[in-house]
Amino acid sequence: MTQTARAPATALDRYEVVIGLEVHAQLLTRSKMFCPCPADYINAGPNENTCPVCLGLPGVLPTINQQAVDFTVRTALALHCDIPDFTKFDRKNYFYPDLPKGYQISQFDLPLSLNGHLEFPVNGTAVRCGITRVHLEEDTGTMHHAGDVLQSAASSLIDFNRCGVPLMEIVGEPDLRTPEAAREYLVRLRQILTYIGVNDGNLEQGSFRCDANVSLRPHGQTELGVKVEVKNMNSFRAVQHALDSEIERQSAVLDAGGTLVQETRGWVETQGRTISQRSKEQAHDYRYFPEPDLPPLRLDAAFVERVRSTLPELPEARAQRFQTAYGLTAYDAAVLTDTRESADAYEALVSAGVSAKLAANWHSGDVAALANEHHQPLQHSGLGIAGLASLLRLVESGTINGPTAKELLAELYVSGGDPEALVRDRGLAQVSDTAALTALVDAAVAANPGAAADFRAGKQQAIGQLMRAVKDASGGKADMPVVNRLLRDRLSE
Amino acid sequence: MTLTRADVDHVATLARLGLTDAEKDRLLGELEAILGHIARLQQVDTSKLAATAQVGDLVNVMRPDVPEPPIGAAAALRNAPVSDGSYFMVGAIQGGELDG
Amino acid sequence: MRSRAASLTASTITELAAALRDGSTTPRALLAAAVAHLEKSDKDLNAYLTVTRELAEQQADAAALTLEQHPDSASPLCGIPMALKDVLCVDGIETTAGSQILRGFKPPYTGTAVRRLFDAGAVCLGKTNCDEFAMGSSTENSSFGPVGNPWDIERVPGGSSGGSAATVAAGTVPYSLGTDTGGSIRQPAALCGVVGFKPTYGRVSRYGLIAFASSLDQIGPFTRTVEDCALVYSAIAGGDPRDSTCDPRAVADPLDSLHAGVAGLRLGIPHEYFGEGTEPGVRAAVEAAFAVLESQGATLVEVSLPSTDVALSVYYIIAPAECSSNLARYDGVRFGVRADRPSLTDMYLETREAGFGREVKRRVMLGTYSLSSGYYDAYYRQAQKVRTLVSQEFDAVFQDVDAIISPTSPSVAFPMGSRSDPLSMYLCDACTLPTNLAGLPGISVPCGFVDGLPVGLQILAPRFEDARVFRVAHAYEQATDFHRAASPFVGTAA
Ligand SMILES: [Mg+2]
Ligand SMILES: [Zn+2]
Repeated sequence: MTQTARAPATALDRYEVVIGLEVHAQLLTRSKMFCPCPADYINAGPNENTCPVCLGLPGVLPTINQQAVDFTVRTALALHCDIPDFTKFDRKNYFYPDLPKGYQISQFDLPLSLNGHLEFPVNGTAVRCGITRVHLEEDTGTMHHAGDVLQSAASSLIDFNRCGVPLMEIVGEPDLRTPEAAREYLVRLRQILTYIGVNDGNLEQGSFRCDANVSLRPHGQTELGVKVEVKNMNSFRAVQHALDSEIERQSAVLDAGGTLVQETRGWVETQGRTISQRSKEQAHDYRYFPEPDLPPLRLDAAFVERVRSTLPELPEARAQRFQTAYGLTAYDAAVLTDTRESADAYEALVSAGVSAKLAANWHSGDVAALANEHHQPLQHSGLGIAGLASLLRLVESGTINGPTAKELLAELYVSGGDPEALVRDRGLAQVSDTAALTALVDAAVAANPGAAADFRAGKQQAIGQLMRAVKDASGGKADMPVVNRLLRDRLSE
Repeated sequence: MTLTRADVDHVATLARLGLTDAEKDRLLGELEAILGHIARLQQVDTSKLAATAQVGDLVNVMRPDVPEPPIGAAAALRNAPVSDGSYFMVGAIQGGELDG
Repeated sequence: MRSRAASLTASTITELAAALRDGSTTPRALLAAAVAHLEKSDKDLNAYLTVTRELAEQQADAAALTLEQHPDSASPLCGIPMALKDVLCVDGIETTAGSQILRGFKPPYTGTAVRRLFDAGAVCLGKTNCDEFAMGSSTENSSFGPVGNPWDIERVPGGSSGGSAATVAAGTVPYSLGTDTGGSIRQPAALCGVVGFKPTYGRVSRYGLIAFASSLDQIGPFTRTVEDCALVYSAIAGGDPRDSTCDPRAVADPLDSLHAGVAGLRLGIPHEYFGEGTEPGVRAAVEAAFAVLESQGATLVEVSLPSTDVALSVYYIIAPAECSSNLARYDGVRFGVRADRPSLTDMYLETREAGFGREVKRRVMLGTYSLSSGYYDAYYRQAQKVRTLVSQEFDAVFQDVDAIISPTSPSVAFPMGSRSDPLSMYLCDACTLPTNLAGLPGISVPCGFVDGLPVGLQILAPRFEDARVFRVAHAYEQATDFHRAASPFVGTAA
């Protein structure tokens, strides 16, 4: 693995790598694309969420789910695509047991959207990748192979629950030049799809899937090299490793003076390499033709504007605003806007009166950690946004000190409760009253003459022992910056 | 365009029809005759004609995203030639079904 | 000539609806008569693939209750026996489309048009024989044996809806449903001497109709009179959320204008519809029919539809292309008959090889070829463009005339086995298939006989002018007696 991960660096010196990604993303509709079956295919028993339409029984007809069209247009707008005023569905014909009708209803020459782009930084430099098209189609059923190894399976089981779930195909231009850029493209695309609420971005379960077209060419050569399609990558890590290993494989062939064949290869995680699945000679002839069962769509400006109005502020823009509006660093802004929940929670804290900087520190620090630990975003935690806001107000007002706030946060995050009441009832308010603290300081100096003498003799660190003494005496509630000042005054007398 | 026996083989594969050689020979002749008759299509000047995929002027026929109860596995599997009671079953796929 | 009035089951829907209300008969009695007639006649005709007796009895009893409780609001179809072409899905009833590959298939749902008839109180006697997947013009392509023509059982009833035409002509049921993709209702109606109507494309929902060519298929009725035909059409027509190509616009009730007559109407006669294949007897009968319409006050006009000839070529690209895709689902995985082979690929090849008949394979091959890479533009795309031309020529003609009149079929019923060559069979539909390319409504009404074999008059109108078709057809029918003529099978069980 480490070898394949390192090798491309050298391959990249000798060849220019050209990568284009094709993403299939399931849409978060309630019902399926062309029938009213529930779109939830994971929590239902095998073949439970099926009907004559998605089973492709004789005599049935498809009907278009408007929400799926809206979601696809919303995605296209987020990716800066053009929305043609005329679009239609086509039949893509091929035989496979998970495709009941013997054709997939998809889009061929007149997709829902065209000519978009996605911009993102890779190692500090901005990369812009063109989006060829975003079109709408239907997902297939799922197959389980006895022994899970397709080649050796004596029989396969088919479940049509997933069949007909709305699927968006997002075709990227071959503008990516490194596996890192490819990975970053996917991370950003996934972030946008989840941000605008059309997809849940789950690579492992396959609601967000990626295929890659990879080719190599000598630096400076304009025409593209032989293209290889890589499939079966179900994590960002897998995508990068698969591309690394495929680039290494191709460069090895070219270095040896060999020629590559146009083919489809599958990534085998366990072997850390891609293996050939289908050669160009065996390529499908899909016989696309217009779906006669579905009238075309004319999406006028009004329709597009209605959908545009449902677009939320996108992560890029929101991060920018966070920097200017809240004076946050680019890093903090990026962390806070990583997910929509996180950004929403942050702004809720600020509007609840917590200072922007304090809210940022706590939200991206301890709160983020707790959210991970309990798999529970702040919004859905017991403490909630209001609870955290009142806790942080106690910190800002100096009513409690940092360590106390940390303890309370950890305790209340799940169980919930009113921080102010707790601080009152448990007497957790910190002691900043000079008179009270001066008494403790005097007691500490009297009880630790050695340390006092050392400090007076110039041994700065000796003050630590004295501060600890005061802290313990105050039951952890002492306002330590004040104690520090009082000690120094006392000892310099 | 003249039809060849190789075309017949290729099309039969695309259509997943396990035709016998005798059938392929017969079809070659029949399809040639039909295509010969149809050849007159090529004489029509269609430079100024739009394609008709379906008659009628319907557009934007869509349904709201409202789920309805499915028929369930038992009804879905009732007509299955082979099933295990929960899944439809098929035989060995052997490296991904023949293509073309 | 014998009259169908002799037989209860050979009466019209309107006559039976009255009889059911004046108490002179009951749904059970009508059903019993139909069953008796079917048992007696179908050995010779083979018009039925499935007799749905149990379903019919339940429906008859439910209808009796409705007629008893709401005799006035009940549909005129309530309690009256009928039959369905076996391409129409009925929940739990074997539906084969005349193909071995669907033997034993019982749909878990009922199609929209059939559902509407059932809701109106129809009593379903059974599923009728047809060309496999509605591909044919003689019903000889049924994998369950051919259907006899009630006027001469040595001859074909036409097709593909041969069983539905024959059972009405034989006097078993007063009406049935068929489907028309290139003439599959009108041509058998002509050859069997009954009324057959193909609605405007998009007037009747296709949900539940086993697709042959999706952009051409329409469901329509076979009856003994034009009025009955209008009644059944009204019951099944109208928008359906399950069929996106079914037009939601309101359907004009054809009964409102049924008696308006043809006085003042301009009727176009396209000379291209009298090709060299037109039999002299057919020409004579149809020209006599034209004269009758003229005598009723219609103005006859010579019109031209130059692309009629090339329309056949368009049809034989588009219909097979769509069918090659529509029939891909018959793969032995979810329903139907599977060839038992260890490997998936062999299972596909053998299931479809064994399950499909000659004509189906021929059209699947033709359609797959015309869609395959390298040929799409030359064939399919070119055909789509010429299809536009065919529609434009109809539009132009309808600028000048209200309706088009012609022979339905160039020939009368021909002997079984006499048209083995596919092209000669395809020519049967020369006068009917351009209609489907343009989505027009069309009807065939009896207009005479040649050597005791029926001839049909075809009447076409612009899209959504279905009511006008019935109006012209009714005017012609009322001026003649051909619809009263009865085949030798009528009354055999009375
Ligand atoms: Mg796709
Ligand atoms: Zn469904």
